[in-house]
Amino acid sequence: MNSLKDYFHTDWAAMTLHDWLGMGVTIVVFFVMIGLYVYIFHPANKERLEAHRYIPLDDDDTEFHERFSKRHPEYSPTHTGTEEQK
Amino acid sequence: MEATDVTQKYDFNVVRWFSVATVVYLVFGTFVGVFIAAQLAWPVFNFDSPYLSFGRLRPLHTNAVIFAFGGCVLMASAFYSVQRTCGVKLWSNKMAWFTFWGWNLIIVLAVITLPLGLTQGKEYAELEWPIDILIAVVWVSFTINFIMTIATRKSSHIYVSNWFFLGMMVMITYLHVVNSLAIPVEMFKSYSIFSSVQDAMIQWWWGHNAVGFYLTAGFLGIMYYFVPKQADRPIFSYRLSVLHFWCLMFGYVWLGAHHLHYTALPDWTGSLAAAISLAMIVPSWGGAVNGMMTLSGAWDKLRTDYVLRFLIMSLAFYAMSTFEGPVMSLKVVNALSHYTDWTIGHVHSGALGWVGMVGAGAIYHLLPRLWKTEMYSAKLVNMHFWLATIGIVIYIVAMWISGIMQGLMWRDYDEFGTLTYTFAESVSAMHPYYVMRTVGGFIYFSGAVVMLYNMVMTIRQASREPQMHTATAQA
Repeated sequence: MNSLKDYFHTDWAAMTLHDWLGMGVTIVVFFVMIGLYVYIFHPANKERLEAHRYIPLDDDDTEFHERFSKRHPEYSPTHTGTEEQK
Repeated sequence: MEATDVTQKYDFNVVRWFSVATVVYLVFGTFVGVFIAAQLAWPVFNFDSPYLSFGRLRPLHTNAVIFAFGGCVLMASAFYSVQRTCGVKLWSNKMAWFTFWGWNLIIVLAVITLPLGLTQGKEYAELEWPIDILIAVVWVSFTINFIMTIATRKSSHIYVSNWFFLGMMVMITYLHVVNSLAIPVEMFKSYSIFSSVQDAMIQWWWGHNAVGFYLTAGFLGIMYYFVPKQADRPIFSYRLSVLHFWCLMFGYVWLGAHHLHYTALPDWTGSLAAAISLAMIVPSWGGAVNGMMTLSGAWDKLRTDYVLRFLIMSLAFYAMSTFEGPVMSLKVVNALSHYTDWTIGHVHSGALGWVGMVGAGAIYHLLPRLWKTEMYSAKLVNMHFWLATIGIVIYIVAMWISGIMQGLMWRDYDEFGTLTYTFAESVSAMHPYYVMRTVGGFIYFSGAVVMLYNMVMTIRQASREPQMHTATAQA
């Protein structure tokens, strides 16, 4: 490798259909990923996306928690901690 | 919220069986691992028997820990968490049982065929073509049941852990089918349809993505459900988890070629794989930090909650392995590390530290809930944690030293340009570290035995307390 120009040299005439398809998919995915970053970090989407954090905690594991909270107060499943993180 | 008997609301029986199988296979898989580690330290343990030789038992070990232990914990946790996060029963309980018995049949067939020397010779895909077809059928049944359960969910959103499980299922189906394409010539003999360097590329496209999608994405599905549940706090950042998911899905498939540096594979392919490997540090560490920071403001829970220790320690190993891997994929580092024990150390810091500990944490979370009792002994959970942690550290330190020594000895030249050391001298120099590895592995295996004992006693304890359960359920 003599230079970066040599390293990135491409013989476009030798590109097969698979090469073009692969490159096309890669470029599309690249732009989709940029779109994903913009979508996720846009302040307008923060509240809506973060609301899904509570799904595993908002289930009906009540019976288990009730029994165990009595015996082990240190495991007490109060959801107050979750509020702190909002 | 009203107290509900969740064991009646959901299909948990199959999850119970998968959980028990998980711990049994953890003991079996790590036992075979310790045995073959001992064979490398003391070759007399090969007993001059082809059925017990290292070459045949090594794939048995990898199949037992990856597909028996790993598969069962993935299926237990996926079937459990998808019901809990979607608020519905499994789409088909019968199909879940088909998955359970089918998967266990595959494991039995592996235990029979691998010691007999029936193998395709493909790493992490050794099983012959009839078993490969069975794997595809059972895996697709698992996938269809999971997808259809999500399709019938009561909640509007699909929680991120289910996305990780789905990503694993879709990609592993695709990877397994393509990598296993072969021309059968006998009942238990086939030849890959790929040849030469294309075969090697397909092999490592599968091999690394088995790590990426099965042992990483699948177990991240476990992490994203069980860490918040055990900590009783929501995941630190849901947005980060979404980003983690998509980066992992789009990034991991590029990495396989970094296993083939300095081979007949075109140079640019390996360079591209190494570059993307380095880039993968970002989402991997983002995910690890996301899991750990879930405990932000409640780190004191680690003092009392031994199950949480497993889950958080697994994230530490996940972060470490996902940094070490990209570093090893760089050509300059790979020139030293490849074909040495450093790779074995790296794999085991991920397998024992990340996969083993997050899997154990998930099962410890499940056992009291599935059998509606407390763990038989919290102290034994803590003992397992320390045995696992100490065992891993001894193992990987031994392999780091051994691997770097091997790499240095193999490429050392004298002033005449000839090799300083013979290969046999490098093997001899490894002996103390192979003994040390066996000791580390044995300690980790002991932890698995402690877990099995604790599980059996917990289940026995639950069977002695039926009245309490009924009373509680009716309260």
